[in-house]
Amino acid sequence: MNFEPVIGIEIHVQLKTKSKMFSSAPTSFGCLPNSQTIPYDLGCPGTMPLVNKEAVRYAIRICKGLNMNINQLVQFDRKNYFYSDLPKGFQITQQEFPIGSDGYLDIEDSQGQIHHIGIERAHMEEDTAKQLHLADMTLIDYNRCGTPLVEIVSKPDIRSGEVASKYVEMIREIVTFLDVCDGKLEEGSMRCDVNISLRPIGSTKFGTKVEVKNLNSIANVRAALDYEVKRQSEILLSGGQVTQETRRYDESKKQTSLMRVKTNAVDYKYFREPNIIPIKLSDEFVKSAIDTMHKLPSVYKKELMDKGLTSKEAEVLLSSRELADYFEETASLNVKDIKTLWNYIMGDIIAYINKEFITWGDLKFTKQNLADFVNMISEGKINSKQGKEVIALMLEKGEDPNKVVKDLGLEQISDQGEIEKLVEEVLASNAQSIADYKAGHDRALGYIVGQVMKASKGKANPSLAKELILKKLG
Amino acid sequence: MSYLDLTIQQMHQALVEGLVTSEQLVKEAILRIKNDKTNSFEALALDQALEEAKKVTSVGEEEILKGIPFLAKDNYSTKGIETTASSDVLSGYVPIFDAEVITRLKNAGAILLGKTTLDELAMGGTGTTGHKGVTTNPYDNSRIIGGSSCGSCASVASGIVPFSLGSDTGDSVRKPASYGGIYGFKPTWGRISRFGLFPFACSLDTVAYFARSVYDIAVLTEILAGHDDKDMSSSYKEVENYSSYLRRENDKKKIGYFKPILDAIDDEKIKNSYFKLLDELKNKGYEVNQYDFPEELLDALYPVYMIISCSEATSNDANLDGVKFGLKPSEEAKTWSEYMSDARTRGFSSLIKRRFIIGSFSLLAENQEELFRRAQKARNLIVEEMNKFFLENDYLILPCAKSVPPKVEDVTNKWSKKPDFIDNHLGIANLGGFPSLTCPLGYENGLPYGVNITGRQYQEGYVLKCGQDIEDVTKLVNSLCFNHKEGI
Repeated sequence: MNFEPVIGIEIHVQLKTKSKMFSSAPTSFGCLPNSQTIPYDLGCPGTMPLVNKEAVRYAIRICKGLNMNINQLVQFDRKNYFYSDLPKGFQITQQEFPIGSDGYLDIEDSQGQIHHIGIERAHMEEDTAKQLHLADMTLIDYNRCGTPLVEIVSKPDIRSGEVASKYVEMIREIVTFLDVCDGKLEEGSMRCDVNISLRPIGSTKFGTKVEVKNLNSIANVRAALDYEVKRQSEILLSGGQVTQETRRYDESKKQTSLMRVKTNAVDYKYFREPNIIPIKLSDEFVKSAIDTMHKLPSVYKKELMDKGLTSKEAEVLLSSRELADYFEETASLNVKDIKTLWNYIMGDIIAYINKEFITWGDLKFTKQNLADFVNMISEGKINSKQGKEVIALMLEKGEDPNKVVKDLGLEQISDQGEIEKLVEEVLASNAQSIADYKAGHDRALGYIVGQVMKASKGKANPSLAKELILKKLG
Repeated sequence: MSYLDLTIQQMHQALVEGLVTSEQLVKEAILRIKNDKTNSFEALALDQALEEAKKVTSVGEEEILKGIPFLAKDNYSTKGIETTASSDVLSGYVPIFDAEVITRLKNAGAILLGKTTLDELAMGGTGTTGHKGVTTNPYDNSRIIGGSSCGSCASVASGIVPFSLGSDTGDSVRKPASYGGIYGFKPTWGRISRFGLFPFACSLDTVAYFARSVYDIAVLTEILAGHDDKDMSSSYKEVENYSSYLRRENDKKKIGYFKPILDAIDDEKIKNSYFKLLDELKNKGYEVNQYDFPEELLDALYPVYMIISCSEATSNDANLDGVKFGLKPSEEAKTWSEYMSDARTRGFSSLIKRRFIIGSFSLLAENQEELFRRAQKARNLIVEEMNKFFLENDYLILPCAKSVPPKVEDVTNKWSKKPDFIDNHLGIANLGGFPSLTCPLGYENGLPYGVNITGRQYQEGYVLKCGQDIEDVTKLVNSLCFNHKEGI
């Protein structure tokens, strides 16, 4: 029997606002434990939630990026449960009326097939405190407590680990391009839980679902789901039953392991947060949040493709907004051939950045320098071999390529008269090759071109040289 | 006569004229605290108070509260003063911030002497359930003063301070005010910031206060009301000059009452004074109408109030788990859940646990529709009916209680199966967020009873004006337990 996985994903996105969701405490990361708190964050009696306007703005942008309907009446609910990382004994969230509903993303898989993935809801809530479990005690750091989160819940529309990981990647791109979250799964600023069940292909019923937590990279999302598909298929094929449980992904073993069996779901006793009177967002507020938001990756992609890149080439540039912006800004500086630019950025330059652990902003040369350089290549002013030398100097010393070319005397000879002179000299001393060429040996032509290049110390424009040779040989 | 026996208005005048100093007032208040027999106090800050009082060397005409001592119910966060809400679960909790109302009073120059007892976590109406035991009535120590703001009420009725802060979720200021023969006022929900008030049931909770004249209540309202950025539910509506309402002609004079509530009162003295008051008000040009408030909605008052308040309370008090502050759990507790269970098991009395269980039960997914949501629907019906009432009437005026303060031994914390309307009608003002004032009305065998006025939302000025007209009839200004007047 063949099975089809049914996958749904919940993603918690930590917003990069300066202060917390309902308190004025800063959200700074990596500070001394419990230094970024005010009484509200500790659940001190009498403190009250104050909705962070900027967080609402960020949430609106996320909703827009995910093609969602935006609910302009902002309301919050309490989710009640006891836990040591939850100082108030409840979390303020948006259970009944999430700010965003009914969105989607279209995901292209490696076969080029498009998957339309529905997004059920996006809601604002506050993060919990961070716990450090030691051998004989648990320490609590309330710095994270109250950090704004947007939880994005997909519909169970995903059918493979590949599409699941692409979905997460796409959301990571969207929130980082919008600059509302730094999108670091490994640091927990973006957290991902997946639900997966299997069912016989053709069936419309859902199987028993398993939740997998602790997916701290996009690669692990796929690996964990692929593992679960295998594990659950084996259980089902051997006549067993999948148990409803929560599992965690163990990166070193490359497998999931049981965290806890889900018994009856916890009853969170939701009810409306009485201290926040529903807030009606004005049309202007929503509009301005959207008007001032950064360009979405899908827009970049379209623009890049319009400029002549393939879908794949464009997508590679979307791995970070810094890269995409760098590319786009350089391309706008009168670059003649966008593919040459792509080749250098995704080749020599990115290799250098990765090697040196620097960012795009750290590059020593200007974008105009790079544009000039790329044009020299595409216009044949220097050849690719010379290009290697020039870009290396640009990367290491931040040199202006025009100056490098001049200093090293690299500029190609494109003057027809000058090359013609060289061609005549070479032809005069290579009678055998001329004979070979005329006898139909095409390789002889390459040899002659090579000789012209040699005579010019590599500076002759090779295509022009070839053209002139052919003319002379009739 | 001591200057401490005066109203805020009179005391202020004496301070302005230099007839008395703030230090003398505070010293006298400390003496009275030490001799008090009502068990009204939690943590006190007498040394600091005296220090502050010594700094007050002159008082200007405009500085109405400067140098005047006051007390606050122990469910207001007070920086540096242990605040327990009369519950063991908070023992040892010393807040690091002042409630907004404490800040406003301090900024106005008032001097905080300390904190007063309450029914544990403000849940209760008898003043007998706090962790320090029973707070009694200064008129008769064998009787209750009522709650939950018991200590604050007793200390104003017994002349220790001219005003005090209480809080009102069901009638927690307005019922005790009746038993203490003083004024107790709860403004519109949202009129005063609740920042720093320990929540019992946020949608019903209101900052409220006791004083010994309507004028004093008006002055306090002017100081306490107004938007606060720390409480999103506090209104931006302009704060009016409430005291200016008191001496001008009232242009709203329609009084309504509910007959079933009067029928439920057996005490003839209370009823007679009430109708006598209505007659006096008619003489002042008021019109009095009987309004047929559906009895089934009156019946619903108690269950609706209990379900909503317990539900909110079970969530509001979930922070009291011994992890961050308050009661230290035993060494035995090994896991976080044992730790929390231990703190909550030892920290709360069984009465509180009963409320939590009712609240929790009402909120469970399987019960929520039938209990919590149904209670909210019923609340809406009650409020709609009141809004209808206010189309034809400006004030709802009713006796506060069916009797003078009962004996401690006659008070039960058991819940009645068939609650009387008369025990719960003051809660209408909380369900609808209406401003509501209790005024002293008279005395029976030397024990006080009061009358209540409830008005439209944000019509504090009118409610207080009506209260002033009542005060003019009863002449009950500054009526204290040791030299009370007669009333009507």
